[in-house]
Amino acid sequence: MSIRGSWFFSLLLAGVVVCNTGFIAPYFDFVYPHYFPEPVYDIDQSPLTDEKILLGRVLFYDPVLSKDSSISCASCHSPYNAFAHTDHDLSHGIDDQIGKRNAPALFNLAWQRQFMWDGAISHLDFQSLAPISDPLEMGETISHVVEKLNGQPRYKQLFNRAFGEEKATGETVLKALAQFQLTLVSSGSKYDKVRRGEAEFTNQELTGYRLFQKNCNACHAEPLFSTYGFANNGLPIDDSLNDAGRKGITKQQNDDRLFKIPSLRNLSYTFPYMHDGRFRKLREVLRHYNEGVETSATLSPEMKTIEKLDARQQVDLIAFLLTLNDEKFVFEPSNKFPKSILLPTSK
Amino acid sequence: MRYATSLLVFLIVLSEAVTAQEIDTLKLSFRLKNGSKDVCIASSKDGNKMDGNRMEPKIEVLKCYISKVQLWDAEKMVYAESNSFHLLDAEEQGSLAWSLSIPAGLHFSTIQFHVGIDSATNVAGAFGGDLDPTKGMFWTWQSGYINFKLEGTAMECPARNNYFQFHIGGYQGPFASIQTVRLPASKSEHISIVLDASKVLDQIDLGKEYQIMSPSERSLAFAKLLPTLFSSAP
Repeated sequence: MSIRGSWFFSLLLAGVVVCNTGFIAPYFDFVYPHYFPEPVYDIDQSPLTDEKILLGRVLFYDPVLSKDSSISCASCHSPYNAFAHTDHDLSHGIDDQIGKRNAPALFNLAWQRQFMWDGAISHLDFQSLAPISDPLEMGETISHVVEKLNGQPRYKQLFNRAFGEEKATGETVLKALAQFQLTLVSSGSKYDKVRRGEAEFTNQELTGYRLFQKNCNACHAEPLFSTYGFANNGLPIDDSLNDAGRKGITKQQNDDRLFKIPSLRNLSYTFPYMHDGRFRKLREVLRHYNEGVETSATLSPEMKTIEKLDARQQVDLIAFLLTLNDEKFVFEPSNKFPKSILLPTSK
Repeated sequence: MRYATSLLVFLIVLSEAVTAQEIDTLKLSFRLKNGSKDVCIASSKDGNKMDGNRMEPKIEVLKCYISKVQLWDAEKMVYAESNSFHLLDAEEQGSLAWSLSIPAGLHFSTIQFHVGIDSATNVAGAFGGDLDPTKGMFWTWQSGYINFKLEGTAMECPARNNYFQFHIGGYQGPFASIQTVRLPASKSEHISIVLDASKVLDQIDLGKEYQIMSPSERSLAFAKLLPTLFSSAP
């Protein structure tokens, strides 16, 4: 190889290296408080970029993901409700069909290993497959979604910018949706400000916090306010639904009526509560823990050490729980409907 | 800048020296059979008409993941295919063969592979190519790859349209269904393997067992029969 040839070749190689490492395209900085644990989603394997996040956000709000283009992810996961479906015990999908479970709020997903109330989904990338394919929800198939997207000029440019390829694949649709959802980090509540030394609890909130730490922390562990494991908290069976929870997936008897422990953040925005939305008010939830717990073979051991709270204690506890609301998160503009892309001609 | 460029030149020369090692191409191919006949998926379904003469099951769908292909010399592994995930699909002739780049003169006695996808890959997120969820081999309502999919018609099958469906998967707990297959292999240019679906259909009473769609004891029992499907072609 001549000297001139090798100079050219090495510059070419340098160019290839620079482009492939994304040195030119900036990475999105995934930030979280120092007191949060390390995320469990392998971000190094799928680094976040602005283009992938934007594509994921557009897909999240685009009803083209559903069979008749009437239902988008945001239909049941609304940004104003911390990405839950306020005021709906069970959500409704295409053709006004009512589903089987309450739509969970979407935030702090990077710290969760399993998704859905029964942990059916093994990785955030795969979660959107479930509602996309459920006949009561979006009634579609991922193959057909990919086909539809590849027929829309707006997506050619979005996929090209995000993945360097105009054509969408199952993998890139799921990865883009996951990337947007990973950015939904909720860590701006009053509790967080107290943790960062920027605010102080009132006496009532502090009393509530102590009650929380004594009775609730085992399952709803701070700072995420859930261990994201599975528990049976003694909810009596609703025989109009007969939901066996995790047992439906693992088929193991000791998973009967175990459900994923939800986070207690953003409770004001995400009522009604529990896997079937049976409690509309937090005082109903506390009444359940006081007097409504049904013993069964699979009742979680943590439930046996909860103390009964009197009326005053319940008020204090709720005062603390309200400090977990993150108003900044629900009003965050970069999480919202991407009007300039999905409705470009509207004012 | 000059230092970086010199480094790059050095790396190129070095990589050329490394790749100067000799590589042989070993072709690996699978023949999908149903007893004595090759599996042939008709492009249009015949509905539920049963040929009066046809007493054996007719296959409509046959898809199978082959992964972690390795070559062994007695008790020692001497080659492992990288990014080893392949979807055999009776409807896609091109999916049934591929090449392995092995060191020249490699001596081996056995080929080993998995039928299905390992549990780590099942929880590692979305992948493309043969692992892309649009291949219809990934459960949507519950995560996990379908390791082996077999569908067809049989006169004795009482389901709608006499249609049997086996979607065999599961990577967790007691129903983990990935199977390992080891076969003798020594030819250095072409390893040919037969996958004979009749070997599993003969062991099942399609009048009683005709629908498996999720990980369970029954799917595990079916999965344990899968290694018997594979044999080295003469």
